[in-house]
Amino acid sequence: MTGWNRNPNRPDRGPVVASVTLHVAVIVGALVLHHLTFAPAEFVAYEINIVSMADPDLPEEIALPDPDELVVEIPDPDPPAPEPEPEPAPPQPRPDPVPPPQPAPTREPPPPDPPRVDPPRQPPPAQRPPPSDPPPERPETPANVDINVRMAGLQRDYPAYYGRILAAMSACWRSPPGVEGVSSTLRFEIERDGTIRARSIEPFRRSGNGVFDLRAVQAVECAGENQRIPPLPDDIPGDRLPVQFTFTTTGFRE
Amino acid sequence: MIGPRISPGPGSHSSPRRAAGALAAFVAVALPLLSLAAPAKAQVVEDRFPGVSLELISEGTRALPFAIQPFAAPPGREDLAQRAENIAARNLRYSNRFQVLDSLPSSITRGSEVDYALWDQVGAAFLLTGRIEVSGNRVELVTEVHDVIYRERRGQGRFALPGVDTPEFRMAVHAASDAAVEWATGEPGMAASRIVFSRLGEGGNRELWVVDSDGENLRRLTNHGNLALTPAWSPDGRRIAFTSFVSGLPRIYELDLATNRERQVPAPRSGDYITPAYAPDGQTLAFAITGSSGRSGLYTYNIGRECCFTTLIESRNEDLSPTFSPDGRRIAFMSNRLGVGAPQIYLMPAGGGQAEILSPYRFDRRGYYSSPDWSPRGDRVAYYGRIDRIGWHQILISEVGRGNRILQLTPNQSGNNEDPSWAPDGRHLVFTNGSGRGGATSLRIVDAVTGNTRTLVSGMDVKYPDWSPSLARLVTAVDDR
Repeated sequence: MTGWNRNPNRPDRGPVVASVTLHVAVIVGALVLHHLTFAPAEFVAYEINIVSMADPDLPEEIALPDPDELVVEIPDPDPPAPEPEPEPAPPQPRPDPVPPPQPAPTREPPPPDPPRVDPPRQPPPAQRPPPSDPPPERPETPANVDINVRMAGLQRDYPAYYGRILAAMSACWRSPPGVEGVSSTLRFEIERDGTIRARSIEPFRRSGNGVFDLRAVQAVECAGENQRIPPLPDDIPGDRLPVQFTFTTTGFRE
Repeated sequence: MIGPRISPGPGSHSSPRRAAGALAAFVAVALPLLSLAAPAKAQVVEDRFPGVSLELISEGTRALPFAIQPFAAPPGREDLAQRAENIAARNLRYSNRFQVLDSLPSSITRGSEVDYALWDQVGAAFLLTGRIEVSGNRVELVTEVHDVIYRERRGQGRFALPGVDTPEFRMAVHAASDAAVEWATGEPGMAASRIVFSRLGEGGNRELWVVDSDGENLRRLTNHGNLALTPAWSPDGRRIAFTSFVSGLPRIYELDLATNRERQVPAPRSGDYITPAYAPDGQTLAFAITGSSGRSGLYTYNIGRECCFTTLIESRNEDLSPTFSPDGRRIAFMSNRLGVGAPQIYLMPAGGGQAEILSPYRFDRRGYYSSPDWSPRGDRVAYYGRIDRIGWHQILISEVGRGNRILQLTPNQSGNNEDPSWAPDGRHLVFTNGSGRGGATSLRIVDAVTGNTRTLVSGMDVKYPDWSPSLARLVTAVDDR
């Protein structure tokens, strides 16, 4: 008879061979599958908004207490106004012969601060650099190009690298004059060497303004040139990084 | 090394892919394409976008770095180049559109070619170059603006430079600065402009004075020895209309700046002739007549053809301070028709007709609004006033057609801010600030986009500033190539 009892003195090699074969098959299969499935890398998608540094200077939206629709936006004192005067003279009636429709209204000595103004924000770090500033280095992070980066999301896998992308886009972005309150979204891929192939650039959501959309494409092309975007970090998987990028221009205090 | 996947966030991971192997790869590639074909499903697809989503939001406040290459000059003219460079650098700062990198060592460049890689390294987005050229008696400033990032020249101009100590020298450099702003941004500058205002002098008189947009060249224009008030520039920048009491009664005069001649607008009926404003045609003057036997109103007169006295509105109310929209089709003005203590701002057709209120009037909160000035961009009207019954006057802006939103440009505790007037760039405003002691006021300039403020003149009693149109065409021949 044949069988595993044929020579009870020798260990039977059949199961071992089968096991090894099976394992090798599984590993090879896994590797093959691996390469097939990993073509584009997967990332967490999240939004990064960058806004101008000048923000703290901007007039603020003030919510009035009444339900009326009126919206008043109020700035902070730009240079903190040097007004100590505790005894502000009530504004003089204008002596001019060109009268406002009525004599200047009588006012109590002003408690000059209506209570609904938000506490002043800090003035921004000087927007105009002193002339003696040494020429700055090529921006390494978005901070050097006067932008704030806000990131929302569960993961911040490569924030420094995304900052470089944003800095490059910011340098290349030329908003067309007079176009406000629009937004244009593109998709493209950054190659491992940091370049962007023109044919990978696809409009995803157009702004409705042809010039604005064109400038967006130009900005992406420009960002992919002159090593403006560094090569992908080594630990980013995949051959290229898919990016969805939105250019937004807000309107007059929108 | 690629074994452990980046752990998926919500909605970012398409679970079928792991199971479906090669098919999943196709799906991943196909998804963006499908999304282009079916924008209605964009939101769903976007959630699965296998990459990073970034957004660049510019609020109009983005200040791109603008470098100034040290101006070049032939031997012996270096100080001319230095002066021109300093004026241009300050103008670019005052535009509030750029971070200016200037006062760089002249050794930073060699040769005449622009070294884009170098300026890119310095961090500049734009570059201004300038050189003085002399041929015989003729001295010219040649400027260029380059986009450092895109590595291309955006514009070049040639500006005749008059004698270095004349106001025209500064104005020529102002014109060059405005050209640089326009080449870089596509939007107009405001350096080549002046502000006229009424200044209190000896014996309680007020005369008209004028100052350059950078606070230089302050000088007196009129010598009436009486009250000269509410000046207004003509659209070509060559004339100024104003009210004067020189004859004993308030009448409107027009001053020709080139000849220094004045002429009076005829007064066919009694009353006080005040608050003149030019229509964009430069011929039609609109103004108010008040106090005449209970009849007041707004009127126009064609000062070019010296004819055609026309009534726009007439009533028992006071309607004052007309200002034209840049297309000349509408007029904004102030009126006390809703209450003597609560003047409001109204808009109406330029030929007269139904007026609609622009200021945020409410029956229980009437406010006080005065002295409108229509923006050269056409979409906004600036005025001053306050929303509450008490408080300082502030500079306010309403968007035409959106009267329920106002933008307040001056902080609440800064004293009385009044009489705003738009710069030709449509983003800066000059106004009076009464926070100084002893009745002194100052003229301040605010940028409606960034909120940056600077003082133009101070230490004197000033009223009724009016910002000129661009004077670049008047004072210097610009030769664009």
